Amino acid sequence: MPIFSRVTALKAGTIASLGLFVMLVRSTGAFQDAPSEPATAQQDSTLTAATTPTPTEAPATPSATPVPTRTPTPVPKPTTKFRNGTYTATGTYRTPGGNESIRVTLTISNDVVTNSTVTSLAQGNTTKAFQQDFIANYRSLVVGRQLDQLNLTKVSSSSLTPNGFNRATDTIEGQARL
Amino acid sequence: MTTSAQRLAFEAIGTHWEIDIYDEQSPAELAELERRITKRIATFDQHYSRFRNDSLIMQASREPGRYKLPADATPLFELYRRLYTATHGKVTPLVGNLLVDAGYDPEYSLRPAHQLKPVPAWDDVMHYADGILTVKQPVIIDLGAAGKGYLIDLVAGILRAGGVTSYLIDAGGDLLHRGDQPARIGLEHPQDPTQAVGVVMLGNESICASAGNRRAWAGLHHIMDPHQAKPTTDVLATWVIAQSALLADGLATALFFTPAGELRKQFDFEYFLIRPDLSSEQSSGLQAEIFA
Repeated sequence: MPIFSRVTALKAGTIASLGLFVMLVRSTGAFQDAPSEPATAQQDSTLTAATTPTPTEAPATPSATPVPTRTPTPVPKPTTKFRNGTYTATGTYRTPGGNESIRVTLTISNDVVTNSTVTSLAQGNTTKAFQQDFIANYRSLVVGRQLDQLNLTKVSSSSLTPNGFNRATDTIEGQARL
Repeated sequence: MTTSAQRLAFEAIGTHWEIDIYDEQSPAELAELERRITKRIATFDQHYSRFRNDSLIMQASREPGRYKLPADATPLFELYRRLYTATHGKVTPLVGNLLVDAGYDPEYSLRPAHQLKPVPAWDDVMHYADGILTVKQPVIIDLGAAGKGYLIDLVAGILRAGGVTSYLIDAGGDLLHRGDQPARIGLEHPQDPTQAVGVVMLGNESICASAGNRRAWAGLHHIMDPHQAKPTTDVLATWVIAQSALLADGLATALFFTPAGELRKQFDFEYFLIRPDLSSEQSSGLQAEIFA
């Protein structure tokens, strides 16, 4: 069943990429709340390249006259959890045919992954096929386009929202309103 | 592509219907078609609705016994039985009591009972053969997973009998197309009804959609897992394209419970589905443009 294998590969790949992402963040020390540790190669994840993260905020310039106080100067809280930049890591995993690797590059901007590329480093043919399937599918999150720009005859939807149901939710909304 | 069509539009079974007829019809012929169609829908509702206490099917909720159903019951119950087997009992007409307990009742109280009970096995409580429905205990039979699709097919039968060959039936977003000119159909974004996530060309087939989030209340929605007495959570929305609306509608619900690969061993259809993280999945034969 081609459908089956594609879906299975996609799921496995999604989990693998999440795992890689976690490892990546750990090994680069990009997670600011975590104790800083040197970017060392870990057992199953090697940091191959990392561009210098671009600093987002300029240091705050002191302007106001300091007010005498007994408390120590507060440390400015970071507004984002991750440093902006592009990060690459290679993940290695065990397969029945031996160890295999895949390379992942992520761009982080304001705590959001804004771009990603995955490069297959597969050796075995089975792994090559699975990794190609994953690469073809891992980004396929659906996005919407405005209906009025699509020149449609009809829209297929589950919006059989029966009138009674709508009325009931209106009633409940009315009851719940403060 | 957009041929001028004559449109019948009306409200029935709690949803909006639009029937576009591409064959030339006189006003009198159109009026006669609408009369027959609305009458047919009313009869179907009178027989099979669990939202009205005076329906034929609701008699089985009050008293065990043998009930003679109209001849049109057989294709519906036969499909239900096939879906029941293919989904290992997840698609079942016996989900009625569970839905009512959950608050999805004729009054739409939307107040769940304290504890929701899993539904009984088909063979333990009911039997259907040759138009005779036998129930061993009072059960609320819910034909919501495929009933509307079947009704669309029955309406198509009326159009066909009236000599209409080219038409598009839209019953609240579930569609059936017949004719030479395929129609361009948007797939509505499950989280934003002003947007589409893709476009399919529908030619001489049906597309039906199902989504859990449209009728949701109190942490529940209307697609319930009958074994766990909980709503399903793995799938956000499904679309199925099949020869009949009966099949498309039933399978759109079945995809909430059973992997498409398993269903495709037993049923002929194409599909597209969206998971809660907005990742998607589709059959290789689906003629669609998906926006990603």
